[in-house]
Amino acid sequence: MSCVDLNQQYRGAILKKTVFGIVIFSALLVILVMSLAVGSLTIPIREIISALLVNKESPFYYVIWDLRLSRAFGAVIAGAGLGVAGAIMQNVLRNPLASPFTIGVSQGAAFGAAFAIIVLGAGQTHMTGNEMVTLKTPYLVASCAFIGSLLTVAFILVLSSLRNITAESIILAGVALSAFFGAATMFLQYFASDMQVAATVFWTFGDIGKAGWRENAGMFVTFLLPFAYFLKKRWDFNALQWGDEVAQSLGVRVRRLRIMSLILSALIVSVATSFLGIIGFIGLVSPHILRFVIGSDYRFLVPYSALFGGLLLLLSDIVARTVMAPVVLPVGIITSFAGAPLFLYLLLRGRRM
Amino acid sequence: MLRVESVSFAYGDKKVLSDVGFELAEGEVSSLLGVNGSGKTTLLKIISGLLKPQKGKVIVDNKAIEEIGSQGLSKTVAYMPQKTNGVFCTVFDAVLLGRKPHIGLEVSGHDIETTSRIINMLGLEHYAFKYTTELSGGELQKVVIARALAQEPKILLLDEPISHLDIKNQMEVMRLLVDITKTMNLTTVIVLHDLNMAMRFADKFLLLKDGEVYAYGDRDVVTPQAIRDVYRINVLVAQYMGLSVVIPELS
Repeated sequence: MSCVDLNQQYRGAILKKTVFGIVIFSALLVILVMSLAVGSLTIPIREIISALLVNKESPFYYVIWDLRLSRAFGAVIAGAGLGVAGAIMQNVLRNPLASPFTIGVSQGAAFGAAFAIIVLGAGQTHMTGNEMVTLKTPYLVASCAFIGSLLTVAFILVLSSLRNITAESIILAGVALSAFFGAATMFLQYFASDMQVAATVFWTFGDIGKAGWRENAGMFVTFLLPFAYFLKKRWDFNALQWGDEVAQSLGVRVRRLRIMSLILSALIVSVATSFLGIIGFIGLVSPHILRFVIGSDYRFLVPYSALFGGLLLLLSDIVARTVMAPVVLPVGIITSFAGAPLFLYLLLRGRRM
Repeated sequence: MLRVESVSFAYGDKKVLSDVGFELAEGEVSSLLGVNGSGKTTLLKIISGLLKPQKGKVIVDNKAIEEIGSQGLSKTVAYMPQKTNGVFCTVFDAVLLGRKPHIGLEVSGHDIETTSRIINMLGLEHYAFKYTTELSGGELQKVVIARALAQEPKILLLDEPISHLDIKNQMEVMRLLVDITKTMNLTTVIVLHDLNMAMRFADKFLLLKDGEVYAYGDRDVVTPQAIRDVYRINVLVAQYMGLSVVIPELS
């Protein structure tokens, strides 16, 4: 095979991966429209377009703009963040099981929320007509959850740097801190009232409906900067897959890359978790599904994990809203129900984990 | 080309290298010999800039490696660690990764052409678009060498590149390394445990004992006495069809 043939074959492989990206993006757009159309009230496509063109005369204008579009946008941004954070953590922690929750970010957030609800009294909850438990001061809960998850990351980085910040030491520190925060949350719940315990449990259910436009904007802004950093470092992530020493010999500053990537991934996840609650499996499964199609090339895996994570969470939210309509299930239940068997299937196929 | 000046290194209190110095020329394969723990890998890592010596320096092209910087060094020195596992990327992408120090914002036509040329040169073209996880140990080792060559380095450092290979692949990889060293005028340093492979393929020999240079030079330095001192084993060095063959004594 001549060099010219190899060049052409390589360009063909790149074209295929690019086309695959266009397919994911198109599918995301289709599902986005679907998510605007379906729900307890089905809205015709014509009416959706009319409302999206800011036709305030449309009877569905407020349903589309204030409810469904905000919800769909929230799902796409949160899913994109979780997907890309999963892909990055699997790389820098050199562990296929790594996800935003492996290092204890969610347990830290759950502890923060429990602290706000039980200790700070943010959990003055009440039962609505539908017997739903709601939080009266959700921003305090979100802020404490955010602080809790960031504290986890700070702890892990400090603990790991006491000796040497290897991928293994970060994972082990994460396991230890997860257990610690889990125990601390249980301790708080043990002395809490029934309503406070219910509110804490309610908070942990990941639910897209908790966020409005303001929260979405927060998630979007927090997603952009880390995403740009990850895109810039795509070659460094490719190098790191071959080991720290190879990456270093290719000019990668491994320690800095690992710390920055962890902090930025944790930031994305912390913001999403504090606004929406715990949404599992998107960060774990999205990159693995993509690896089956495009391999582990981070030039493509970074942007596609974001697109595919958004797509998966949006799809899960549609299922959450329709499977037991008019009851809207928390999306975290759907992602875990669907994600666990999917992950097992990927595990059994095995080769590219 | 490569000069190591009075390098000393310790992991904490444990002294690993002590006042090591030597100079290597272009177009030569040097083998680094010594027992496990004698400091071979540490020395290789110091030359590649992965570790910083507590004392002494490494000079490449009349410049200390600290002055060259990590980016510059990655264009000059290619390092291959002891063990490599495949990654879910194609052989082409794995070799293209070697271009990383040269790649600007995006991969250029020159990067792609260089990658193709090296893939052809090493005979990897038939599995260029296979995943590296699907390759045999010998094939993977060639891919790793190809990636190192894609860096267009002047110095090639290899830590036990044939330890996990069968005899056929060992011969192939060693022949390949000698060929590219000569044709590309590289300075190649290889850590080897197989003395016979070293005797057959290397031009120069650096024997390390307890972190110090015991001997450095051509084949003549690898004497039964030197091997006894360094490896604490009795051997015979026989001549067979013009080759020096090291035979361990049974007693």
